[in-house]
Amino acid sequence: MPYTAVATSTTPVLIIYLLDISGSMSQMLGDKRRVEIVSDALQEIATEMVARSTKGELVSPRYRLAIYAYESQVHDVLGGIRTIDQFVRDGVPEFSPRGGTNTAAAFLAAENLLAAELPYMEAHPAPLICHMTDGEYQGDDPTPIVQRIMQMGVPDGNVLVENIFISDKILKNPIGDSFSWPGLVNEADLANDYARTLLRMSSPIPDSYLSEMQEFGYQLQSGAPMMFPAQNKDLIRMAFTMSGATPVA
Amino acid sequence: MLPIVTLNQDSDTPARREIAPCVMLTYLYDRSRDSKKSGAPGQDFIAFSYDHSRVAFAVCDGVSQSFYGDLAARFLGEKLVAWLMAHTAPVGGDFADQLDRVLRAWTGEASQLVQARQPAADLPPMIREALERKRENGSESMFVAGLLDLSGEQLVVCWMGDMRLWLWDSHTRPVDLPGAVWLTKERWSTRIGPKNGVPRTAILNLDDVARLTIHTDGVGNRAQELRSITRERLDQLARELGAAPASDDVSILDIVVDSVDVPPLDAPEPYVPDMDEPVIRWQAVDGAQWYRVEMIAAVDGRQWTADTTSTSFILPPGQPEPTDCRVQALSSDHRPSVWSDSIRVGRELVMPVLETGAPAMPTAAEAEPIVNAYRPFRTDVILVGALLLALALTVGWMLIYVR
Repeated sequence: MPYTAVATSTTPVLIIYLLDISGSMSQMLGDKRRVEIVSDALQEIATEMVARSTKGELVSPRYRLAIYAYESQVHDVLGGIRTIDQFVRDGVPEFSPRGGTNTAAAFLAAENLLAAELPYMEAHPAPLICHMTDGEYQGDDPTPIVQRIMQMGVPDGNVLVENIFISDKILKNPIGDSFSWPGLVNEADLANDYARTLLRMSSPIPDSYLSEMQEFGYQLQSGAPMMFPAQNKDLIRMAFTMSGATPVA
Repeated sequence: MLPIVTLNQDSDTPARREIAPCVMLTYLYDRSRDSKKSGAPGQDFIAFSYDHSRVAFAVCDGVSQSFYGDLAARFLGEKLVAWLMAHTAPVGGDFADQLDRVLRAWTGEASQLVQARQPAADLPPMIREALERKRENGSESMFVAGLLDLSGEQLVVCWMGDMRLWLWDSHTRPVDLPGAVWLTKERWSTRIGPKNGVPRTAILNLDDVARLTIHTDGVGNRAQELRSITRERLDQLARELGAAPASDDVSILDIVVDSVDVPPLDAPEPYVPDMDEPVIRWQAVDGAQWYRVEMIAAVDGRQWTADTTSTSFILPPGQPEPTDCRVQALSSDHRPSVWSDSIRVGRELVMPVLETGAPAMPTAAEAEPIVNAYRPFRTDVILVGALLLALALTVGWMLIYVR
């Protein structure tokens, strides 16, 4: 069955974060700037990954992380891939929003990284890209790049692509409670063309991930896409939780 | 009280056979590769106790996603064996209700242990944060436990979780275990007791059962190999499982309902070589392959054991003082020796009652060096010298000027 390989210290899962830090990310969402909410969510999921990797006080390197922050340019925030125990020591980086939204460049960087890593990940869980943005891309269309990425993979499955769209104008009807939300099961619920584009660039949630999300109290439906309209920090937290939902040993 | 044998969680125990009066036990405890590499304890736990006709046992698998799963595994294992061993008559139909009650009742004491457990001070903040989150939900463990009563001709077993219990007849054919459902989500929690399910129980007639094998899920898909075991094959299995990518703790306890008539080993004669150090020693016993040290804390009576192949034993750090210790010699081809005489390790505090009702100050029963406030001798000499000089100068001045 696909997407059932567990993340272990010898077969860790690779998670690539592509974080939009364009100038619009300095806008407010609720009582905080969008970029601060993203940092908070990253801190939250990193702590959760540590908890899922910890046996007693021992942190097993079950996760490998890469973070690309992008605006007009792409910045390799961690200077390569870091294991979760290395990431713990360095802490969560802080971002300064500026520039445009070169989404294609970010996905291209992820594609190049995957091309270099996948040959050594035969027994590993399928990698996951978690892309977070608050606005439509500028420059080249990232769709062809994402489609190529979604054809790359390991025996456990193709690379998973998750998209988080930070905006309160995505849905026709806002989500009341993130814990009871079944997921974007109907494209007609979207009120934004770029949201529909991101939806088509999102992988279906594997059943194994759904089980892990249920442990956190979320009730996403089978077949729902990995696309999250992040209209508040609860939904952002939910979306980042999904990024760390690979089954662990 | 009969000793409860508890295998070390901080080290690995190779496959050993222990000849009890009524059964033969074979057991192995092997930590995951990650735990061995970092010197961390395993989160499995094995405990058992026996007399001339009964054996109580518990094998626990601490939930690594919980707060220090080894804590719940050990606590629960010790409690279950003591509780089961206290059943001196065959259990009845209310066993499941009794079990559910005690599993809930133990949460108070267990929760105190969870609150008292402090992570290492030098951990990075993110790890401390993750551990504090885990502490809110407590420590959790799965378990398989039971009481084998030859005089009552009864086998009682109970379990929660995805460990495994296999029953075999005298021809090594599997014996059906009624109600055998193994679910990962079911476990015991220090916070709420039985979690995600009710404890499962079965009471069987011992006529059908010649052997039982319990193991944790670290054995994985190699469980079929436990149908026929030798110590060498168990050690080989542990080595192979330890080399696998998803290496997990491996615990195996096998009980054969039969015994052999072999002589016991001689008992060791432990002594304390240095009253200032928490160490006991003894001379090697002919034929002994390992030794068991029983420790009973004089303060609260808590008892547990640790096995060693050495002829000396250092009491673990933090061990309450004083501790009463006994030693037993064991081997796979002799009955265990009787326990040695008990010796006391550590200093005893005496609390005198003052008539004034003022808070009592603890004093050591044996004289500890007490450092009183005093000035060094040299300083006293200097001051006396200075005073004498001043006196001499004063007298001299008076003699010169008064004349």
